[in-house]
Amino acid sequence: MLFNSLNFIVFFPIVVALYFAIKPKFRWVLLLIASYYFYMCWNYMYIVLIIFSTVIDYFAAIGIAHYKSGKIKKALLFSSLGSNLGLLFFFKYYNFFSSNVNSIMDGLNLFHHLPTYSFLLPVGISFYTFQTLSYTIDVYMGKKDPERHFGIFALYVSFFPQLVAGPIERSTRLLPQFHKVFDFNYERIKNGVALMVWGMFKKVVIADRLAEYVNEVYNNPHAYGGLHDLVATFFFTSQIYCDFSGYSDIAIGSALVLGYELMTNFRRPYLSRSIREFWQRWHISLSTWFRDYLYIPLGGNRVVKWRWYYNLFITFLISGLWHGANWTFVIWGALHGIYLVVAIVTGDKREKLAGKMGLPKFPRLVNAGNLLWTFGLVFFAWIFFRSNTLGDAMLIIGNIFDFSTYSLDLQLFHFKADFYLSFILIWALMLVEIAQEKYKLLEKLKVTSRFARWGIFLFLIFSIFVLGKWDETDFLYFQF
Amino acid sequence: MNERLLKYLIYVGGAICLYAFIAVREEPLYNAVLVEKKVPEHFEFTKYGELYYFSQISHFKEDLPKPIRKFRYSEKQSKLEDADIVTFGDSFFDFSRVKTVPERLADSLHKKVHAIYSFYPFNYLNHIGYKRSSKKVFIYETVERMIPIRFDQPQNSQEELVDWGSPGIGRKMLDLVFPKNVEERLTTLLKGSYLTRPAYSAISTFKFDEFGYISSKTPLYSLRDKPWLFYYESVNGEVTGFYYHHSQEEIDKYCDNIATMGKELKEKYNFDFVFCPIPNKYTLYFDKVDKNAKYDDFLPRIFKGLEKRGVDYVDVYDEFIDMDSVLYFGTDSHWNDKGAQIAVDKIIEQILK
Repeated sequence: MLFNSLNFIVFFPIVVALYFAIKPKFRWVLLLIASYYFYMCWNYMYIVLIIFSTVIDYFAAIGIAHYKSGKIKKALLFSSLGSNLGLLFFFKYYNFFSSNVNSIMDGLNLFHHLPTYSFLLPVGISFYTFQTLSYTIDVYMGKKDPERHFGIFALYVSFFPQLVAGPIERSTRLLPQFHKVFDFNYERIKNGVALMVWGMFKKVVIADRLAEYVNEVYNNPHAYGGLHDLVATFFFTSQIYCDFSGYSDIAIGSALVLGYELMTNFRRPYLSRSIREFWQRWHISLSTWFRDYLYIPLGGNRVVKWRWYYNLFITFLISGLWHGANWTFVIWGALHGIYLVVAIVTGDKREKLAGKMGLPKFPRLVNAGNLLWTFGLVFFAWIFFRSNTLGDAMLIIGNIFDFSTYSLDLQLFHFKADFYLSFILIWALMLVEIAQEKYKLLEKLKVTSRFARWGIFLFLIFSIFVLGKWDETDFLYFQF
Repeated sequence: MNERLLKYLIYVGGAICLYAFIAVREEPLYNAVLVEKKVPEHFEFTKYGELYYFSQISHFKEDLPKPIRKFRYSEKQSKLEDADIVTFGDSFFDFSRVKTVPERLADSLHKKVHAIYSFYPFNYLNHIGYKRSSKKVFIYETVERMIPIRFDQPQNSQEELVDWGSPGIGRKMLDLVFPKNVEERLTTLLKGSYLTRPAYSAISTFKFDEFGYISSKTPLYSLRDKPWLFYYESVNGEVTGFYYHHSQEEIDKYCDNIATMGKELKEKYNFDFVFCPIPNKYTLYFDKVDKNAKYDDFLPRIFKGLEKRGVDYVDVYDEFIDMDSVLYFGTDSHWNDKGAQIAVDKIIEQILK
C-alpha cells in the first residue's frame, strides 16, 4: 500500500479510530493485523518472508540471552544474520551477482552460466531486514534484553508506518514504546497530522511534479542535450529529497498520531557544509545503522590511518549497494566514500591554505562556499544514482560539460506551467528549510496565532488537492 | 473541547472510511452511494461519455443517448451452435448507447447471430468446450490500438485452456480481503459518490481552468466547436498510439498472426474468418487538436498485408475517413448511430460477397 493512495487514505482513519476505541491491551493485535494487511495489499505472498524473519530472530534472540556459551551465542547470531542476509541476497542481489559472474565467464570463454530468476523484489526488504538485524545484534552485544512477547516483536518487525521505507528503527527505541499505553492526546495527534500533510505535500506536489521531467530525460538520455541533463539532475536532487523525506514525514506523522515516536530521518541535508555533515542529515536512520553495525565493528577511526580510510570507504561502498543491485549505486556509494576520505586527508592542508588567504575573516563567505561545494559534490553523485546504467551516467556527465548541446525545449513538460511551478516550489522549499535552520520556523509557528496556523494547514491541504499529482507513483525508496 | 471534537471527528472519519472499505468489496453498498449506479456488465452505465469521467471537468459534460439492453443479453441472441454469424470482439460491437452491431446484423440479414464479448477466440472456445459444427461467419472486431497488443504474438489453437473454474474458499477469502482493483474502485467512489462527487468535479474544473490540468488518461482535448476528449493509449508515442511509426516488419508480424488465427479458426471450428478493425477516434479526428499530425497509415497498411495473405476483412476506415459528418461521440471513445450503421453496411457487403 502506498501512502499516496486512496487505499491508505481509507485504511489509516479506520486504524486510528479502532486504535482509540478498543482496550489498550488489544492495540498490539490491531496494529499487527493492520501492518500485515498494509504489506499484503502489495503482495500477499511475500508476507511469508516477514513472518520467517520474525520467527528466526525472535527465537535467535531468546537463545542468545539464554545460553551462556559464547559459541552457541555466536552460532545463533550467525544463523539470524545468515538467514536474513541470505533472503536479502537471494531476492535483491542474486540476479545482479549471477549476471556479473556470467559476464566474467564469457570474458574467459568459460561457457558455464549461472541461472537467473525473474521474481518480484519484496518491497521494503532492505528496511525490515536491517531493522530486525539490529535487534539480534543488540541482544548479542548485551544492549537489549530479548523481547519475550512474540506479538509485540512481530509488530516491531512489521509496524506499518515504517515497514517499507523506514525510518529504520532500533529495538532499544521502538520496542519499549509498544509496551506503553498512549492516551488520546490532542497536541500529539495534531502534530502527527500536520507532519503527514507536510510529507504528502512534498511527495505529491513537489516530488511527483519533478519526476515527470526527470524520468523523461533520464530514461532517454540520448534524446536530450546538456541543459536538459543539468536541469533534470537539479530536479532529481530535489525530487529524491522531497520524495524520501516526504515519505519519512508521513511515516513519522502517522506513528505519532498513534502515540509512537520514530527517529528523525532528515534534517535539511542540502544546508550541509561538508559531506560528513550531509551524512549526519541525510537518511539518518540508515547512516547511523551503518555507523553502529558496520563502521564501528570494522574499527571505525580507532585504527591506523589507512585502515580508517578503508573502513570509511567500504562502509559507503556497501551503503551504495544497499540502495540497489546496480553498478550505478555502487559508484554512487564509492563516490561518497572518496569524498569523505579526501576531505579527511586534505583537511589540515585546506585549513592552512584558507588561513593564508585570510578566509576566516569572512565566515559567511566560507560557509556559503562550503555549502555550494558540498551541494555540487552531492549533485554530481546523484547523476550515478538516478542513471539507469553507467553508460547513461557518463553520457549525461559528458552532455552537461558540452555546452554545444545546450537547448531547452519545454515540450517535454506536458503542462508548461509545471516547469516554472517546479522552480518556484523548489525555491519555496529552500526558503522554508533555511527559515527552519536559522530561525526555528516550526517552533515560532507553534506560538503564532491560530488563524495563521490554520491558514498554512489549509493552504497545504488545498495545494495537495489542486496541485498534487495523484497518478499513483511509487516512492523512490520502495525499490531499495 | 478541542480534544473531544477531534475524537468525534476521528470516529466519524473512521466510520466513513470503514464504509468505503467494505463498499469496494460489496456491490450493493458500493452502488448505494454512487450517484450513477454501476450496472454489472455495462461499461456505459453513466450519463455522460466515458472519457468525461477520468477528470469530471464540467466543460466536457455531453449528454449521450441512454444505453439500451445489449444484444447478447436479449432473446434475439442465438445459441452459438445454431448461429449463422458469430460476432467476436471488443467494445465497439458491444457498445449499447446505439443499437449494437450484432442486433443490426440480425435484423438486416434475418440471420441467427451470436455475439461474444472477448478478445482471444481460442481461449474462449476452448473454455466453453465448443466443437466444430456447421459453417459460420466469424467476425472478429478489434479497436485499432489493440492490434499491436493482441497480434504481437500468434493466437493459436494450441493455447492452453485458461482455468476459469470457480476459485476455492481460500482464494475467495483472499480476493475479498485483497481485491485486485481496490484503488480503481475507491477512485470511482471518490469521483462518483453523493458525498464527494460535487467537490471532485469542482476541484477538477478549477484545476483545468486555472492550470490546464486534465487527467493523464485524456491528455489531448479540444473545446473549440464542441467538447472532444481522446484516450491516452491512442494518442501517445507507444505502440498503441497515433504518434508511433509502425515499421513494415511489425505490420507483417501482425498480419501473419491475424492470418494464422483465421486459418486455424477455419480448420478447427469451420469458421469463415472476417477481420474487422475499428479506427481509433484520434485516427479520424486528430486534426481537432493537431493540425500538423500525419497518420502512418497503420490500418491501410494492415489491409494491404491482409490482402496479400488472402484474409477477408472489412475496411471501415476507408468509409469513415471520407465522411464529412461526425461518426464518433466527442467525449466517448465509441461511435455514434451513424458510425455504427456505416460499419454494419460495410460488414454486410463483405458477408454477402
